[in-house]
Amino acid sequence: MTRDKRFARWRLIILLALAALLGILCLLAPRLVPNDPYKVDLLQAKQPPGAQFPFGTDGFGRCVFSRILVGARVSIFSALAVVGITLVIGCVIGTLCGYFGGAVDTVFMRLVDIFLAFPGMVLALAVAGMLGTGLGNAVIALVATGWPQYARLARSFVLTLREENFVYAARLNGQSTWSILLRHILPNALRPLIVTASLSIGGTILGLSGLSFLGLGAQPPAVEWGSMLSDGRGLMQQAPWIVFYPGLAIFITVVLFNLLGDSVRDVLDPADAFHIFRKVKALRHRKGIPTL
Amino acid sequence: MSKYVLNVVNVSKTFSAHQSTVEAVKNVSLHVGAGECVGLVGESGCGKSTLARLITRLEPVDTGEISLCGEKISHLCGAALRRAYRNVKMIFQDPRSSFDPRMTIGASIREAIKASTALSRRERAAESVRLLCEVGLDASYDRVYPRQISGGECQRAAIARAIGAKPRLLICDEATSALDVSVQAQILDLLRTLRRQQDMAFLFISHDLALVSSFCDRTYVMRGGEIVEHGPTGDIIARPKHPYTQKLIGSILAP
Ligand SMILES: Nc1ncnc2c1ncn2[C@@H]1O[C@H](COP(=O)(O)OP(=O)(O)OP(=O)(O)O)[C@@H](O)[C@H]1O
Ligand SMILES: [Mg+2]
Repeated sequence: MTRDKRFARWRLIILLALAALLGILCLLAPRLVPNDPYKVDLLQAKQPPGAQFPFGTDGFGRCVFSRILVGARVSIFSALAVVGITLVIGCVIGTLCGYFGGAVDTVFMRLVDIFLAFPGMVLALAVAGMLGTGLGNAVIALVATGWPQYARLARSFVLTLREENFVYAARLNGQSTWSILLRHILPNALRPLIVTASLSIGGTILGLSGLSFLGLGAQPPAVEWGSMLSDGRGLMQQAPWIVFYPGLAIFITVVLFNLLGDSVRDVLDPADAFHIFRKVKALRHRKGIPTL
Repeated sequence: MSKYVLNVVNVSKTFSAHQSTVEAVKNVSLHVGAGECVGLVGESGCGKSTLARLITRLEPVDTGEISLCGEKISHLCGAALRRAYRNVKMIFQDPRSSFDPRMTIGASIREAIKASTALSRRERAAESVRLLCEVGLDASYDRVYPRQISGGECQRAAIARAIGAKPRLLICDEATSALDVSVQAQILDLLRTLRRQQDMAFLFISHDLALVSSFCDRTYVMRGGEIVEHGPTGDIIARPKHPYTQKLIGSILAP
């Protein structure tokens, strides 16, 4: 393995560890908070960062640090849910369109063209606006605008895969269409799709915060980083920490997930990944270690 | 049961992409008898692979009829087509691409066995090893990935997978073109042995007339999507009628 590859793998491992840490932090947030994140105490309003309130308090005297911790859950997990759901929907539609073709394919692909013609965020705003406020609706809006990209990508991979000789061979084996789709087409198309998905987590966190900032996402008392920014923006002059820390949290998380996506791409690159895998297997084979 | 394993009658196929259309196969008729070995020669791009895909119904024909073992398959689909596929298997030019890169050779072979027989899991494992041995590989190839082995070994494994179902017709689409000369000879030897041992007909597709003449009883010569000449291989070599065939033979004799 070259130095570059070893470096890429270590980078991925470290970033995955950081993301896992963030995940654990989210899960344990209710136990870790130093103060009650929902408790309004106007006497403590707009306290600057200090010993009791590490990141200060907001206009209602609520602990910003605690709110960021509980808000992380909503922000990160909803973004992961959005990416997961779009990936699944896009994969299913793209795979079926690519493999079967025909009229359904044409209809769906024109639909995809229409969706992709609009800037994603504008479309998400329109959908969220139509559905009304609420975290669930924001998730639906982002899924509705996100699936076409995956569908198009999945379809293009399936179009080439279905003309591969191993797919022809599987058909000549007499395998059913479903078994070919599930055993040969999907597993081979999934790798680049997962790369795309991991690259889009950061953007989705940003999109979700954006919708919340505009009042279309999470509603009080639920805490979300975007809505924290929105709540605090009137007090930017007097108490800048109310917006600074949630902003910083968004920034760090987005950067972390973007780096993670990059790193997943480097390691999972369709051409390269096999290489690594093959090397490991070959080594085990040569040394007589049974392979899985 | 008809006397032909494969009977192709007036088959045509046209591809249309945007403005241009390619008549890849024009009104082709050919037949292969039981246990017979038939060659199909022609230059690159003349439509041989397309014809092979039409015969196996991997692509639908535009017009014409194709029968496998007396059963018309040109309009079959679903379970009936899958049943008809028991009788025909194909070996491809690029041996690596005929195996899923994500599966071991053994897994691919077991999958093929599973689809065509009712063997139990353990029997399938034993059968795949037996097939590998039959084509001159050993049990260790069961666990390797296509990219870990050479093209020749991969082609042997593809043959193992194909003969597992005991097809009545084996189509070899340039099965040896991607291999170097010595490996080519080994694979041909293997095919000859199989031909002796099993009652299997061959449709041997190649651009190499010399190869075909050493292997086949009858030969079809294809050019520009059409069959221009056919007959016993010896006759074609000795008394070619069509000018294109004469040129082909000229090119073997005076390289
Ligand atoms: N799916 C397709 N779509 C459009 N055109 C095609 C398609 N498949 C084949 N063709 C065209 O049909 C013609 C015949 O191609 P084919 O692959 O059958 O040739 P071949 O005789 O097998 O050549 P080779 O010896 O190089 O394998 C070519 O001109 C090719 O461009
Ligand atoms: Mg070809």
